[in-house]
Amino acid sequence: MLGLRIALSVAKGVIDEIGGLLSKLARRSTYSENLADSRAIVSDIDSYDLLDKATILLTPTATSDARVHSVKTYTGDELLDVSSLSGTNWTADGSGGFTNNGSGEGLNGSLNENTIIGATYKFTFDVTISGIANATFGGVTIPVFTTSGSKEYYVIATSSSTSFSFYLAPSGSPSMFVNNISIVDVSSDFDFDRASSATRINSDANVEDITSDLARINYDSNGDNGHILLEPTSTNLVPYSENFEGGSWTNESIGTTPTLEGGYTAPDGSNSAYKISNANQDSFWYYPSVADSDDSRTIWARTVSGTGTAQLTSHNSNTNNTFNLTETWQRFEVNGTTSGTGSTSFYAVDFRGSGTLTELLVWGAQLEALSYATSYIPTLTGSTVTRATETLTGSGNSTLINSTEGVLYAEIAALADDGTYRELGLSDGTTSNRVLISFINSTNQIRANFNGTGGDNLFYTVTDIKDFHKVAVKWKANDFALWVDGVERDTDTSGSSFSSNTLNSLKFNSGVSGDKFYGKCKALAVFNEALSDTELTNLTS
Amino acid sequence: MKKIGKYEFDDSVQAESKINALGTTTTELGDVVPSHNHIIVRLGYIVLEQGEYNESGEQTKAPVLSDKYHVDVLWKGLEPVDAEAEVLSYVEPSGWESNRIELDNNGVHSFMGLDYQEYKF
Repeated sequence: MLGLRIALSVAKGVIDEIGGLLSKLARRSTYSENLADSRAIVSDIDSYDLLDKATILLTPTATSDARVHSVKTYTGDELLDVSSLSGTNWTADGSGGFTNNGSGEGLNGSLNENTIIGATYKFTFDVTISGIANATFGGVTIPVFTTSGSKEYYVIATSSSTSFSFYLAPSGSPSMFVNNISIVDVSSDFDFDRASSATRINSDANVEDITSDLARINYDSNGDNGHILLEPTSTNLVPYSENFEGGSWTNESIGTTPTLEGGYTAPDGSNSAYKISNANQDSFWYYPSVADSDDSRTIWARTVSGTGTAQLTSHNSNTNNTFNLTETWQRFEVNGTTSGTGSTSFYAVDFRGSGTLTELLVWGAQLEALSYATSYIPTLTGSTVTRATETLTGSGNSTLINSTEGVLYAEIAALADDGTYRELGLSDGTTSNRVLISFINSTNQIRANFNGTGGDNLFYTVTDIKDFHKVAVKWKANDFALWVDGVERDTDTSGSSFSSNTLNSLKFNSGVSGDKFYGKCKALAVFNEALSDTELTNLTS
Repeated sequence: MKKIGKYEFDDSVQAESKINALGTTTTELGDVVPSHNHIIVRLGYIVLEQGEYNESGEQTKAPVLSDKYHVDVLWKGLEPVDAEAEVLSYVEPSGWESNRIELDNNGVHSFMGLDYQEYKF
């Protein structure tokens, strides 16, 4: 009984520790969601006694503008010693605020510890200013600021130093009040970039707009299985993707003109879906001259009631475009055409072929010059619309990454088996020293490589890289291994490892700018030692 | 700083020359890809007046195409011309400004969620 009580107490302590991590994660991010799934991932890792060995741990949970936050190893420790700040023409208010008397000059102080070269620091303060000012620490001067408000900068240190300063240019009659000054190490977090907005499937299974530079935590069509979604640039070439009466949508007066009726509830919750009816099944509804035969085509569709089949997105002579529809919205995808007839046009529906339905609801037509479909890109007017590429980079430093031995782990899925390289991993910012996990140009193949060591490339072919797989790569002198889904798949027992402090960054690309990882990620972790076979079995099972 | 520019060139060769000058790198597969992070959309010889087609895709009335090759660019990370100016201004990398055109609407193409009128130079 006592043993049970102790066990329960220990378990409660572990849960509280994980809860504390996730709570801290949620507090320091602008947006947080999918916490139950993240808790499950972290709990799994902890149950194998691996949580303390993870120096970076990313789950699809916490985002801010242009940032994706790692569960570990953010400490939240304040690095700036505010009491050390002083300077000519500056007066402290005793509450962390400092006022310049109108003559400018520097406000100087120190950090509690040296900055780490390559480490990322979040620097925030509130300022009221008339004039031109900047700030310097870690060898970096932030861009000048001239406007009042709350400021936030991410600074990558280029020197090891404790010095810190604000500088208010003395020209004119400047004034400045600054307070709430904070510098914290966020090196385990990621920089995110997407210059345009995008859509996602949210946890309510609805299509939702996401603003630019905000990473997408995307879900399956049923609202489950949250993951970070990273996609390439793509353009929806069908104008008026939600207005089937706009632009050139037509039936060319062939057969009985279909009836269009708007105002139906759409997958985004709006009333922008259309019902298209053609009782005689002798016509179609299409947007002419927008496509190539090898484009990918998608459209949401459902029945008005019951079930049935319909030929969607391309001409009825094609053999790859007949789908089973139900009363639930589904997004249907066709990659390429099997018939040349009408191949340059996008058919919302072609009633003339083998389909059984005489009416259906449609929404969100999309045609892309890619071999696979990406997330929905609305074209609400007569123009085509481009979603910008997404990048996730900038995590890690030589303290968080043990170059001499370790494990890189990822639970990932590809968007397509399209013969391209899509890579993520550790590097020194070059292609000379890297540990990568890659989807490559061989069908359904996963590769580990260890450039800069004597370790060979390691390979494993899965059934379908579009499914999620748990992948771990281990590096250590004379001990290199690729684990996939609970099994050691390939090894190399000869070769040196990296020198200390070689690897210093974690990116969703090849280590430089190429071969970006386009895909889905449910978890990513860096461990600071070469884990045992038992640990790797547990981690990847 | 993000900016959107719309450009027209004499032909695709001239456009590709300007685009390649922004920087390229070679992937492991030997493909030459951009090394910069700007978003380039090649619109080509855009349709000024729609053509007409039958259902087989055969042209029944020819469209009127622009005699210029069009490119839209979403520029990322541009630095101000004068960082200490009261009103910051931005310009594209060298050689692009002379090909820039200005529209009073979004034109035939836009970047998702970004109004050209707000982000144009």
